[in-house]
Amino acid sequence: MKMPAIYGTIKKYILSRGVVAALIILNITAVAMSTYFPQKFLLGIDKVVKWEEAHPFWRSRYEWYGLDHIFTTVWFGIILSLLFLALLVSTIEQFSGSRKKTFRITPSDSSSMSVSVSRSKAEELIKSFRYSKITETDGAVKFIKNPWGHWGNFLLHAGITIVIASSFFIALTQQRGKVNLVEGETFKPDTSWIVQENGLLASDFVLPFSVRLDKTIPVFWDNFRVRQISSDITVIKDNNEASKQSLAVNTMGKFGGVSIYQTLDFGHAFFIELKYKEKKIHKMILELIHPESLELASYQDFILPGTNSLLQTKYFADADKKSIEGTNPLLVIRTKDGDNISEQSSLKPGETAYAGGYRVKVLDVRKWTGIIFVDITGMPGIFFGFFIIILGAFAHYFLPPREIILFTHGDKLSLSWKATEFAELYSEELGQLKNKLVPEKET
Amino acid sequence: MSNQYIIESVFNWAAVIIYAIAIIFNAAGVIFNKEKSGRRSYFIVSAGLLSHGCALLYRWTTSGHGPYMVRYEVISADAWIALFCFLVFLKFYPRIKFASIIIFPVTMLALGLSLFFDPKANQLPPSLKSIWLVLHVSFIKIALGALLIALAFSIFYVLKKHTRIQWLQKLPDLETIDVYAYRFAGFGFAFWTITTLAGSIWGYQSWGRFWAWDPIETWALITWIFFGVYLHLRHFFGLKGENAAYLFMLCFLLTLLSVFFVPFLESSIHSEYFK
Repeated sequence: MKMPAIYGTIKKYILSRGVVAALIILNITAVAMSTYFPQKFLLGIDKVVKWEEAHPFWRSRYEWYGLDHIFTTVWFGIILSLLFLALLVSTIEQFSGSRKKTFRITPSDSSSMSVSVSRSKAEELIKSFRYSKITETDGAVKFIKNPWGHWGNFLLHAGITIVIASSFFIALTQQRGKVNLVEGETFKPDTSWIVQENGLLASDFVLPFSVRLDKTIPVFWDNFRVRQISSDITVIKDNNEASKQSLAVNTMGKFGGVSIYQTLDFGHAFFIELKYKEKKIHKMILELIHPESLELASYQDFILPGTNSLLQTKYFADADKKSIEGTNPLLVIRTKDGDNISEQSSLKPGETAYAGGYRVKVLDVRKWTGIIFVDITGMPGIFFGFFIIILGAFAHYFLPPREIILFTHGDKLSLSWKATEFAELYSEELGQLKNKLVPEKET
Repeated sequence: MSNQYIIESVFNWAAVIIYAIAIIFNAAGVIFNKEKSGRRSYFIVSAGLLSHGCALLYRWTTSGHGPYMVRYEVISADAWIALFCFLVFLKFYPRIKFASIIIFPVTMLALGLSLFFDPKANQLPPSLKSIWLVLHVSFIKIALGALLIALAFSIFYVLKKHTRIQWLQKLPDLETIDVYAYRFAGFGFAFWTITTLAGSIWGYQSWGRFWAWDPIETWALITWIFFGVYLHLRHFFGLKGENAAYLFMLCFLLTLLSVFFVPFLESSIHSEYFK
C-alpha cells in the first residue's frame, strides 16, 4: 500500500533518534515529577495547600505550570500525543518490516553453504527441526522456526498504541461520581455528588436512574479489621421500574452502562434532633466512620445549624464494647464555641442528653456506605492493548525466529541460516542442521 | 511465640542452613572446578527450596491468604520464586547455570532478611481479595526472578571483561553472556507487563480505575519504560556489551527502588502489605 507523501515527512521527523529520545525523556520526566509535586486528584486540596506553604519557591509556579495536575495539563497532553504519533508511525513501519522479514526471500551469500542431499530430502530434514515452509519464489524456499517472532515488535508497538489511544479516550470522556448513602435513602439523578470526576470533554455526570440503598452489611475479622462490605441496592428507572443489585468490594454491579462499586467507607448515621433553649428544633444526620476497634472511637466535627459553633462527636461501635458489628452504637457529643467547650454527654439510640445548652435526642441510627458510579467507555481497549503487548513481548523474547532459505546456487543446492535475534544461543541448532544437510568438508 | 511461628521458623531456618550448604557446594563446583560438588549443590538447594516452600505453604494455610501482606512473607516469597524460576529456566537454558553463584546467595540472604521482620500475619482487607491480585503479585515475583538472572549475566560481562578471575573463563564467551542478559531482561519485561495488566484489571474491578497514579504504580511505570528503552536500544540501535550491562544495572536499581523502597516512602494501596 502506497502511503501519502506527508507520511514520509512525518515519519522522517517523528521517528528520528533525537525526537524519539526527547519524547521518552519528557514522558519519564513528567511522570517522575508527579511523584514530587503533590497531585490534587490524589491527595486533595488541603495537602496541596500545605505543600505550597512549605515550598514558597514553587507557590507561584505550581499552579501556573499545572504541576498540581500534571496528567490533565495541555503540555502533558501534547507530549503524550506526540509519543502516540511516534508509536503509531513506528507500528506501521514495524508491520511493513515484519511482513518483509516473514515473506521476503533474501539469501545471504556470506552464510550460505552447499547441501549434500536432494531438495526433497533437505526440505524433509528442515521440517524435522520444526521449521515451517513459509514461501517459495524462483526456486528459493523460505523456512522459519517461530515465524510469529518476526511480529513481536509490531505487536508490542501496536499494543502500546492501543493502550495510549484508549487511555486518551477514557481521560476525555469518563464520568465518575461518589455518594454516601444511608440505609433507606434514595439518590436521585438531580442530587449532587460528594465527589465528581469528569473527563476533559465530558459533561456533568447525571445518573440515568435513581438508586436506593436497602442494606449495608460489614463483616469483620476477629481482630476487628474489615473482612468484607456488601450492600443491597435498588435501581429505579424513570418509569418506576425497579431492580435489585448486590454489591461488595471487588464485586461491582452494572446497570444501564454504569458500573457501580462498593467502597470501603461505611459507618453509622445518627439521626439527631437539636433544640437550643426552647427555640427552633433542628434535625441533623451525623455520618460517622466506623471505628477501627471496640476500644477506639472515630471522631468528626459538625457545624451547628445557624451558628459558628461546632458539635464535636465521637462514636464507639458498641456501648458495651462487646460487638464490633455496631448493633448497640454509642455517640458521645460536646459543643465548642471558640474556647468554650461544653461537658460531654453519651447517647444511645432513643436517648436524650444535654451539651452546651442544646438538648440532643438520637431519633434513629442506620448504617451508611459510600458507593461509586462510573461511566467509562474504552476499558476493553486498555485490556486488549495490554494483551497485545504481552503477546508481542512473548513472540519476540520467547519465540526468536530462525530462518533457512533453500536455494539453487549455480547448479548446486545451497542453504543460508539466520537467527535475527539471540543467534549465539542457537549455534548448537545450526551445528545439528549442518551435520544433517551439509557435506562433511564444509562443516 | 505461637506454635504457628515456631513451625514456620523451623522450616525457614532449616532452609537457610541448607541454602548455606548449597552455596558452599556450588562455589566449590563453579569456582574450584569440583564438578561433583557443583552437581550436588542443585540437589541440596532443591531440598532448601522444599523446606522454604513448606514454610510458605504452612503460612498460606494458617493465615488464609497468599504471601503478599507483610514484609516477612513478601520477601520470603520473592526469594522462593527467584530460586524456583532459576531452576525452571535452567531446564531450558542449561548454560545459565553459572548464575547460581549469584542466585543461591541472594535467595539465602533474602530469606534471612525476611526473618528479621515481624512475622505477625495480617488479615486480608476486602480490596485485596481478588484472583487478579494473586496474578499481579505472582507475576511481579516471576519478573524479579528473570531480571535477577539478567543482572547476574550483566555482572558476569563486566567482570569477565575487566578481570582475569580464573573461574569466569569457564563462562560462555562475552557475546553469549551479553545475549543471555538481553534475553532474560526481555523475559522480565514480558512478566512485568503481565503484572501491570493483572494490576489494572484488579484496580478496575475494585474501584473502577485501571490506573490511579499511586506512587508505586508511577515508579513501576517509570521502571517499565526504562526496561523498554534498554530493550529498544538493544534491538534497534545495536546497544550491547558493557554499556548495555551498565544500563541494565541502572534499570535493576530502579526496580529495587520501585518494588521495595517506594512502599516505605509513600502511602499507597500497594503499601497496604507493608503497613
